[in-house]
Amino acid sequence: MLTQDNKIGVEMNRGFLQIMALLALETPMYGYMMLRFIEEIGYSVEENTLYPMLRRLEKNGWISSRWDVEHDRPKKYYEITKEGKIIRNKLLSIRQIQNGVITKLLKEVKNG
Amino acid sequence: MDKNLKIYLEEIDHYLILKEGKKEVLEEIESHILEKTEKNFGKISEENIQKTINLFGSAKEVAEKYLDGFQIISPSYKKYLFRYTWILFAIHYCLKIISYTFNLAFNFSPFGLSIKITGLMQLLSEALATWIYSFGIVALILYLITQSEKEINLIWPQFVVSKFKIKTLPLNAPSRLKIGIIAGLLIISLIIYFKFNTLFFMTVNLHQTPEPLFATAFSQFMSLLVIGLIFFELICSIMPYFFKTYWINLINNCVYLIVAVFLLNNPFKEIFINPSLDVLKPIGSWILIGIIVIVVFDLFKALISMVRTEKQ
Repeated sequence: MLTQDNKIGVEMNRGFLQIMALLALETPMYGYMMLRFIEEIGYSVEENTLYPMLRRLEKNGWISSRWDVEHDRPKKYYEITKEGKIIRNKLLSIRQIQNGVITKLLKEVKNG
Repeated sequence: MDKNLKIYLEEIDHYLILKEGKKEVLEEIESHILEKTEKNFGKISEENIQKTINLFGSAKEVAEKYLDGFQIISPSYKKYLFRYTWILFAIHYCLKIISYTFNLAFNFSPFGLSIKITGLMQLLSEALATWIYSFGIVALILYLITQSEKEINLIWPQFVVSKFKIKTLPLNAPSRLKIGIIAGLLIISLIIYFKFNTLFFMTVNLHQTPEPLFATAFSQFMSLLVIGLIFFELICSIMPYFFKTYWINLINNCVYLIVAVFLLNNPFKEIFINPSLDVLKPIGSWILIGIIVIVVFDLFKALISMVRTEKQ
C-alpha cells in the first residue's frame, strides 16, 4: 500500500523519469547499466519502477530494444528512436515552462 | 537456475497480466537479479540472490507496476456498470413477473436462459440471483468493450434521462396532512376490521349488520392486506423526516408492484360470497393491470429522478 508521500513521489517522478530515460538512452544501455548510470549522476530509481517504464516507452515507440546474447548472460539493450527524440524535445520544452512557472511562483511567495 | 529465483519468477508470472512479451519481462528480471547479485556480493549464491530479490520487491508489487494503465473496465464506462445492470435487471425481472402472472415460460436458446416462475416464493427468491446475473452480463460486455480499445459512446441511459419529459420528483419535506389522513384511515380500518372481521361489504345499512362481499378466507386476507398497505404507506410518509432519498419511492412502488402481481395471479379459488358475482372477476383483473401500469410508471419516474439527482 502506497503512503500519501509515496503517491506524491510516484506522480512527480513519472514524467521526470521518462525525460531522464529518453536523455540517457541516447547511448544504448540495458536496465542494470542504466540504474548504475542514474546513480552516478546523483539520482536513484527503484529497479522495479524502471523496467515497467522502459516497457511502456518501448510500447509507445519512443525507444527500441535488442537482446545481446553474445555474453554469458543475455542483456536487453534499449536505445532512443527518432520518434522518441521528437517526444523528448517536446517534454523538455514543457518541463522548462513548468520550471519557469514554479520559479516565478516561488519568487511571488517569498515576496508576498 | 537458483531455486529461490525460480520461485520468485514463477510468482511474478502468476500475477503478471500482459498480452505479449511476458517471457521477455521475466528473462530481463532474471538477468538483472543475477548481475546485481554478482556485482554487489561478488558471488552468486542462494542467500545472496534472496537478498537481491528482497530489494527488487515482492512479486505482486513488481507485477502491478507492469499493469500501470491496464483497466479491466475503462473508468469512462464504470458509471454505466450499475445503470445498465439495473436496466437489464428490470427487463429480466419483468419477464419473470410476466411468467409468474400469466403462467408462461420464456426460452432464450442461444444463451441457455430459461425463465419459468411457478410460485411467489420462487419469484422473490430469484431477485438477487437475477441482479447478479445482470451485473455479470453487463460487466462482461463492458470488459470486452474496454479490451477492444475502441472508442464506443454509450449514450444510453443518459439519453433517456435527459430526453424523457418527465418531471423530477420533488424530495419535499413530509406532509403532516397526508400523515394525519393515512393515520386516521388506519385507525378507522382497524376499528371496522375488529368489529366485522372484514373491510369489504356488499351493502351498508346502519340499522343492520352489513353483508360481507367476499368469501371468508379471501375477505380476511384482503382486509389484512389493505391494513398492512395503509400501515406501509404511513411508514413511507414518515420516512422523509429521517431520509431524503428516492429509495423510499422505489421501495414503495416495488411493494405495490409485488402485491398487485400476486393478486393478479389469483391464488384464491373462492372470492365472492355470492358466486353470481364471479362475472366481476375480469374487472378486478383489469383494475390490477391498471394499477401495475401506474406503479411501473411511478417506478420509472423515481428511477429517472434518482439518476438525474446523481448526475448533478
